[in-house]
Amino acid sequence: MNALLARLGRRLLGGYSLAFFVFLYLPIGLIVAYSFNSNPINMMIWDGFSLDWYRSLFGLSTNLSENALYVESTDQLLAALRTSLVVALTTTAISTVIGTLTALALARYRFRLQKFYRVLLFMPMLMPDIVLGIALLIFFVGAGMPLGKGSIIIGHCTFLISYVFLIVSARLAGMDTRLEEASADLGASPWTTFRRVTLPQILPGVIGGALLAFIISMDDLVITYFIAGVDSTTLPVFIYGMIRRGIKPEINAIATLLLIASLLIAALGLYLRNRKPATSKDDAHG
Amino acid sequence: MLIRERLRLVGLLTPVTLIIGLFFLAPLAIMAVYSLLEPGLYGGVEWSFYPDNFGRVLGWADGTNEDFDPVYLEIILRSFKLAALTVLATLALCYPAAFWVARQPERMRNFCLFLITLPFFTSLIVRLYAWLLILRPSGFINTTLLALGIHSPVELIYTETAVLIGMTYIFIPFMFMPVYASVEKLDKRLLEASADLGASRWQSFWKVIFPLTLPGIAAGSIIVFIPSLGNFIVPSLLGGARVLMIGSLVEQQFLAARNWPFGAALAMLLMAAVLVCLVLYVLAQGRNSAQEASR
Amino acid sequence: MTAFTHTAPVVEIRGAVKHYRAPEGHLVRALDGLDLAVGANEFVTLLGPSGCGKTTLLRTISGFERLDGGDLLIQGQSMNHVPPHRRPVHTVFQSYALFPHMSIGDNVGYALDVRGVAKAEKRQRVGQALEMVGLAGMERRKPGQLSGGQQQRVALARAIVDRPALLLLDEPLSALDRQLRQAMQRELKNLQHELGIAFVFVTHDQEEALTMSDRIVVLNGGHIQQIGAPAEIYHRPANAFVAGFIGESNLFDVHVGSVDDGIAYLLDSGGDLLQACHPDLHVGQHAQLMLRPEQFHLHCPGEGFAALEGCLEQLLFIGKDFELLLRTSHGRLVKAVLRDAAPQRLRTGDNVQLWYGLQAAHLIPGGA
Repeated sequence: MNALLARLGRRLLGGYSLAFFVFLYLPIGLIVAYSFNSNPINMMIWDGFSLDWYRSLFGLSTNLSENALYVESTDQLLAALRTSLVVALTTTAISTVIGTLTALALARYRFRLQKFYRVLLFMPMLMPDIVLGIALLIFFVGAGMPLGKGSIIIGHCTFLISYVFLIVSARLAGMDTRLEEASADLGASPWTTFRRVTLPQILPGVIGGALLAFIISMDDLVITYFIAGVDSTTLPVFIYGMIRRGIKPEINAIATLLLIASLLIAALGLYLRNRKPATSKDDAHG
Repeated sequence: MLIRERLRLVGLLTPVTLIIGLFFLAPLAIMAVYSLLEPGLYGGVEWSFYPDNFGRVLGWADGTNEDFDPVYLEIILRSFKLAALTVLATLALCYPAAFWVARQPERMRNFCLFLITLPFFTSLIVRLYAWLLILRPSGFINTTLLALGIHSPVELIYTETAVLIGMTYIFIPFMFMPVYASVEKLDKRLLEASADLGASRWQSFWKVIFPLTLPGIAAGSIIVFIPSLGNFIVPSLLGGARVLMIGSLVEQQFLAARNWPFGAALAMLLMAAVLVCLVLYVLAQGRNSAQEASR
Repeated sequence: MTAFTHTAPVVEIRGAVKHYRAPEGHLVRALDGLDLAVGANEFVTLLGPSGCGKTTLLRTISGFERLDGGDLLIQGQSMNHVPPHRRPVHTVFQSYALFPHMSIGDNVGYALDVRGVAKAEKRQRVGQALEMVGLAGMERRKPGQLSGGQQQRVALARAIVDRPALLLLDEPLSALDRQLRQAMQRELKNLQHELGIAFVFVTHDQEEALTMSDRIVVLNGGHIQQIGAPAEIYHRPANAFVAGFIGESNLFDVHVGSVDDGIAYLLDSGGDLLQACHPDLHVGQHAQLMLRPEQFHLHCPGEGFAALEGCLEQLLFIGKDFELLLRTSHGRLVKAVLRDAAPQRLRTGDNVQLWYGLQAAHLIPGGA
């Protein structure tokens, strides 16, 4: 009897887990599905396959009648995308470099303020975004700084450095420090040692950190919302505004494209993370 | 340490010190100051000490404005309630799934983990938008019900339930990872020992498995509670004007009402709540490891 | 402490002091005022138990530990403010520390790369170095594809490719099995001769030290116990520690009862009687006497010998010798190693005599 119950329990668990995964992906699946729905009025009722919404996104002509055209100016959308990319790429570059430098400092040197710095670096990640957002808003306005791409980049860097720091630190901790000693022993200056020995070893961590920073920056809504100012909009803020003004089928198309982009980047990141680093004792025998 | 080394260290740490000092600590300090200032008539601030912001939060009159009005208190309590419910909901959903995934062979396990963390990398706004589509009066649920012959539309959008659903959906990956980590570490032999000593399956679960997963549950709870508390996107999209949370209030004060000091005071309270949670968590961790050490 | 050769020493250490704080809080002296000079093509071994300071001393020379007091000179220049990468010294690490992301060729050529040596010259020298260690042609492989012994040779080649003034070896053979280890010992010795540079070798294995070194530096507790050629260290240990650490020995704490006709009659603290001919022994003196197991004979070889008597406790056949344990009437155990054929007829419990030369015992200075 016990065994039967156990088996039933296991079946239930399996069934539940299936439902769990469906729950996770159903909403996403719906968006993708409905982005191809040609019904311009009620997007929930399937009216046939259509690429119209994608076409109207890019300003191409569609099969819809004139007054069915809801789309905002494509220019605005593309401008938002461009801003997002500029911000994300700049932020990624800055935060990856600074995050890596900081990780090196805390991992390879022993000094009195070490614990303090560790706590300090953790804080931006723990703070709720909204607090960060308005604090930065007050600061920028108070300091007389104009709100725009620059302020967004600064805002993003502030907390993304911590993320990169965490990932690179983990990587540094797992590295054999004697390799760096050997390099110095053989005559390499500290910079050369970093360039030729340390960096290749931590590169997967650095790239992983960079990818994460890029994704988070591209997707950031709350902080950007407060410090973007009037003239610059990033993609998430733009979409948020679009949704607030009313649901339109084009949003499904944008959403699907974003999903595909995220999927590709996430897959890339996970692939890189699962590639194990070379170790000198890999296949050593005897 | 040699001077040379010390210089290098200073060089390495200067960028992060500048950025976090200037763009994180300083703004927070200024915000703290603002929370004690008087709001100006047309937005902006008057530089005079004004402790009533905090009082207003809790509902007390500040002489010029309303009489005791607990509306803000309501919002704060609702935020705590929804955050707590989100923690419970994500925990309830993730806990069984974590056990199932831990059971799978390695490849399947990695694939499942990939599937669960993938949504985290996709756009937040897209995921919430999906629920908007589902919960709207003309959305997926109602359309399906209609198709099944049920003609009374269920009002789901712009309710606390909708916000709860939204937050739960967003924070599932956050709860899953720590919980899964502690489930994966479970030693099967402990279960065997428990059974050997006469415990039923149920007892084994409550006396052995559950306590051992508590660290993961605690970590997940903190990781979910804090962002839920201060969230403003989910209530904004799925809660509308009817379901306001602390985050929505703050946004209002800063962008619509232009009462920055009041908004700052709210943000300070949020920060305080977060700090209290963290302190409690760290203390619990400390007690836990002390218990472990004394065994 | 004289240098081995008459040319200037390549390393000079004067009054080296190094301390660190133990986790319990007290100050530990890893090096306690050491003096040492290494000649330009000597093979010097730092020998001692774990924690004696030998690795600390080695790392002081390579630059990874800084002295708290004293001077370090390499080729006559003070190294106190010179970082590791600017010293003309290379180390063969215990764990090899080969760069896993580089090929063998790049690993070996690293010191040359770093100094900007031309590619053609680098290739030639790398080839030479690999040939010297018996790994010709392995340039393209990666460290992960090599066995432990091969990796060790690569580490060696990497350290000698640019002909440093001094090579430091930190227990490089400890991870190898016995046979490989002995083969490598011979190879290292040959390599050192071929290269003509000084080797400073760290080990805790005294057999290894005795085999390979021109001079051995015995360390304990941060102090140098004795420096000398292997034979000297073995036959004339300077104190009880060295006597006990190198080889096996029977140590006797004795009191000189009387001296008659040049022969000192000694009473061991356990009650046994010994005799020795030694100019430094005077009546009433306390001393420590050492007799190595191989110095005993089962039968009296002739004049000038005395014997210890007792009961045969244990007889072991260990291949080329017999190991015999004798218990005196006072309960003292004496160990002897014998080659004679006679032991085969002995059995436990038999009464046995162990004969030793009157001048064979070594007097340890400082006494009991």
